[in-house]
Amino acid sequence: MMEETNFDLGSFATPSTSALLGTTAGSSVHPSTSHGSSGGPSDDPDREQDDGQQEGGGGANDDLLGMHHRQTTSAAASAQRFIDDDDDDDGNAGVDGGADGAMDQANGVERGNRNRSATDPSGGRLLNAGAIHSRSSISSSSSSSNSSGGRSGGIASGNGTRGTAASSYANRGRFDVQSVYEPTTHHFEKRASSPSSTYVDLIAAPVESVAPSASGSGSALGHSGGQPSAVNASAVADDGGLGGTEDGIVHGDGEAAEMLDVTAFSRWLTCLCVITFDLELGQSMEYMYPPTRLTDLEKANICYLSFPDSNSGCMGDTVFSFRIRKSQGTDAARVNALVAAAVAGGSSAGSASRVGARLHGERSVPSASPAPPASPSAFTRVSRTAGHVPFSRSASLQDTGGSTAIANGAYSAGGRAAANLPVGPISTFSADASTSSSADSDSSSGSGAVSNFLYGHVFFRQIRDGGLKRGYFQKSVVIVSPYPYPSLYGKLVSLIAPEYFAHGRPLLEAASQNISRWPAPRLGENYELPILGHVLRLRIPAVHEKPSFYQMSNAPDHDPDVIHATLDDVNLYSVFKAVLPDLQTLWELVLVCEPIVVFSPSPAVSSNAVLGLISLINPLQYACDFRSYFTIHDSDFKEYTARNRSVPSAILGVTNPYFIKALHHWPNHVVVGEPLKRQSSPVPGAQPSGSGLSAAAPVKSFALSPASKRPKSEWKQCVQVQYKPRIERSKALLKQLEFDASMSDSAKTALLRQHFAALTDAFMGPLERYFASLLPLQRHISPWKHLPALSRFVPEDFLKSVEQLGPQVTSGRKGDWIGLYKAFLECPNFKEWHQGKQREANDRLRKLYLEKVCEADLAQWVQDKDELHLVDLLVRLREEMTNPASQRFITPAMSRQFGAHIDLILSKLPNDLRASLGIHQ
Amino acid sequence: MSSLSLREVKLCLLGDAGVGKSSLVLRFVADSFNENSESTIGASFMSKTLIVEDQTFKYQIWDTAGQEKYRGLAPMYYRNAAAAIIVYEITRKQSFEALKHWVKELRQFGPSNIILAIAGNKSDLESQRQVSSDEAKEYADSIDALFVETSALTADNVSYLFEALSKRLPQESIAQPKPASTVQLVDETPNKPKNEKCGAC
Repeated sequence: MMEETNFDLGSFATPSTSALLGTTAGSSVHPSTSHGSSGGPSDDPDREQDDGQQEGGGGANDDLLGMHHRQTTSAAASAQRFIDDDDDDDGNAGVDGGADGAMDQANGVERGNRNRSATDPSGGRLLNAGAIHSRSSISSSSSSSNSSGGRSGGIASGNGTRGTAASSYANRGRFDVQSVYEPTTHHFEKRASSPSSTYVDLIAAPVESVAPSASGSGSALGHSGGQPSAVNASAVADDGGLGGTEDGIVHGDGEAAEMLDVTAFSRWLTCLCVITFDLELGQSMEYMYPPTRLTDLEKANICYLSFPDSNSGCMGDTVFSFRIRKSQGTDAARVNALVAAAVAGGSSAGSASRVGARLHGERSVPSASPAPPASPSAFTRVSRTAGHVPFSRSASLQDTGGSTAIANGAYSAGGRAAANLPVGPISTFSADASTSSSADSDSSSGSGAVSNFLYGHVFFRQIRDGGLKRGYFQKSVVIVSPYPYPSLYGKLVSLIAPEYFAHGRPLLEAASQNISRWPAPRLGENYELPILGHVLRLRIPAVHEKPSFYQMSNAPDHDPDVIHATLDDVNLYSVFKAVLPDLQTLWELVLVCEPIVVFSPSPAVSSNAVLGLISLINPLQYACDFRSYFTIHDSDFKEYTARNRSVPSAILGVTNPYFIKALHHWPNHVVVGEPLKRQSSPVPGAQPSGSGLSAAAPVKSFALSPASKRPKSEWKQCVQVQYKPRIERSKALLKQLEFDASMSDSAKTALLRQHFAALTDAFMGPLERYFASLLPLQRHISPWKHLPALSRFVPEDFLKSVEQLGPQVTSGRKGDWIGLYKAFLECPNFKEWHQGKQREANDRLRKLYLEKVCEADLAQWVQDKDELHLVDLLVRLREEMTNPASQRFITPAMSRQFGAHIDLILSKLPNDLRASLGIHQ
Repeated sequence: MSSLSLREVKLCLLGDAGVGKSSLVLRFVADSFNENSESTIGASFMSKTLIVEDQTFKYQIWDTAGQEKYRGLAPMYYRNAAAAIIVYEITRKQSFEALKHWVKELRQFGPSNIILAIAGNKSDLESQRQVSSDEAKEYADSIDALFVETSALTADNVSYLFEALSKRLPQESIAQPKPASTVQLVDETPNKPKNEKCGAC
């Protein structure tokens, strides 16, 4: 199969450029050297990675590597010591950190200054070592390594796999407590007492300068105020992975960060990151705004995925997106760690309340209005709840969203928002975020797969700059978001990044400030979103809203200024024009969640192709994992390349030739995009369609390496699948697309969209009809009985209905529809769709039911009922009143009616019974 | 004259820190005043619809930060702006001098057809006046700018400022339907060249 594709490694990466630029080709090999330094033998899979690189990237990296090895060995060892120290002090770290909650920003300032003036080079070295170290742990776990030597030191930064991630959660917990002492409430007095220029300095100070000023013990971190060393060490262990970013930013950032309403900000964005290429570290996080708590793993993934992987042809500006898995169970671990720490340090009521506030901030729904700081009693409430239902948002949690916790809670708030507002474009934002407690159970079962991810939207700039040691300026600005919406975020990052390169950090503050004033995202609403002197117009489609292309193609006077926040803004035609006849096969594959790997020459093409693929089944939501840009550094690398189990249902977009070997066993391969050597013409789909921004500047032409002279035939765009297409193709459409030269690419895309929407519609029609038949009749809803349930979805019954009135009849398109349905019913897309429909139907039923209960003539009904019936109804009414699923439908008027009902029933009951029921309440 | 036509006007406020730019906007948009106004980060955005002589103006107001740190960002906000209000406080001579720098910058780098207004704010603090009305008026005339002394605190002249500014906006920049392109990001202020482009479409 693969033999036919004629992949040529050289067309991905060329010896001279990767040696020159040494992008990821160089850094990818760090892990194995680092392994060596920490005592573990470098293992075969890593070697294999190296080989992959060597074939493509040539041997020039060896020198680079050797250098790295020499420089980092000793430092890595001391970092190791550091980390071990920390581990011994697990229990106390949090306590001390929490108890020291009174430490105020003045200390932060002082510390910043001190660190900035630190000149001991070993400080920086130490930090670097930590970074490399953490990377090694990630890489080793993503290969099939059993080497324990290389891993032992990775504990502090998380071992990478989810199975062993608990240790990293513990670290998170410690760090949380440590950062509790950020006094966000103090900023008024602080601003008054310190000139703003102080903050400017701090903000301008390079992150690296906040590195430990001396190697050795934890107290050398330079914290003022006598911080316990364990806490300091934990900060290092935690941040080592990415150059101490959090430490630097959390404490170094001044006024602007504190004035930002992070909760409001995180309704749209998790954070903005700047990723740079450090000569010693490879990709590293230079800056993050606002300070956001991401795990090491998340940060490492963001760093790696924000740069092109093993090809250096992306000159100029490139916009692409990626998707990463959120570290699992983080919240629970944080809660537990915090509770444990606070309990241990219970002597200080102050610290307890602060921790309590933290918990509130993390676990309550983001709220625009600041709430009063949580009190110690709030803490007790939280800790009690935490043990039992770590993820539920009970009423007691909602009423005291800790505003003091907001500055730190950015990530969590974003995360919770994501869980609360399932993110798919067509998916179900709950109608009201703040009250949809049922979303908890929903997200864990249904759309959980979606909300467990973060999205990165990258603007990568690579230009020649003789003034730099490397000869090139290479930086990425990344928007990390809880939602995919590539049209919106692609535009945003294209707006923000070039201005950031021109103006620096104040620009990020300005942009964030704008974003924090945006109204909360809701389905089916129109927005005007001001940002940096522009206004973005956006429509977030409602759940069942037909995709925007209908309007685009059918209504010429449709307002073109509206950005539709969907996934369907990929210019399908330009991305897939070389493989058009196979596009319908791909539609089938996506529909039934078959694994697909997309090979393309650049991250931009890769992300467009993957997003384009999942949009083929709009308005149906793709329920499996997709990685619009996936690299060997992703912490899920191992999972996706493992050969000893079935291939996961996912769509991966890759550019690194190593994957030709690593994903050879994947059944379905798509190769798209012109090879990068044709630099004179823009890479197809290199930018989000119609961005109309500086990002839209075509990739600049650039005299390249010998590879650019290789014959074109080595890269062949094709689709190779181990899947027999079931539905007949539309030849008419293909002809039209092929021969109608007058049509623009976007017109052709509209045609394609129309075609696939009709196809999806024809396919989903029978399912919708069958599902509708499962609903109880409205007349069966009675206020005196329990809510009627939906009938069960019986596949056999459904398939029978298809035989009678399937798409073969309604659409006239021939094919094995039954076979396609059978495959679909087995796949996650069906499950997701079905759960969504159930949710929606149950909501509707419940609303109707509650209305009926309210309107019911209770006085009449109670006349001839015995106690049993009365008590039964009473209990049911009370249940409804407190049932979170019902609460969002209960208006104040309804609530009063319920109260009246309850009073009426109570009045009909004998005194003794009434008393016991009344007290019970 | 049809009141149906809606003009979207990108407006930018510039001026030294603390002269009351945000307070002016707050007074104009929400008719309120906040004594403990925090300093602006970057630039904040507000919009307000105003009807002047049968014409509806939708002001999209970029209220820039006066702090030096954000000074470099100003071009983003006055780029494509139809109008700019440069604010000084009558109680601080230095803020008036800073205003002249802004005018210079706008003349050099701003849109060529931008309408300028000069607002001498804090007119309620007459006793502490450092910049005379005559001096400011003379300067404003010399650069063909509207001149108004305002008080965000007392609301004195604030709505007048915006009404007078609206009347100065050139007639031809009435917003027209946006060209049917895939450019989805909107520069809100219609300016002359853009409209010509519209016609071509």
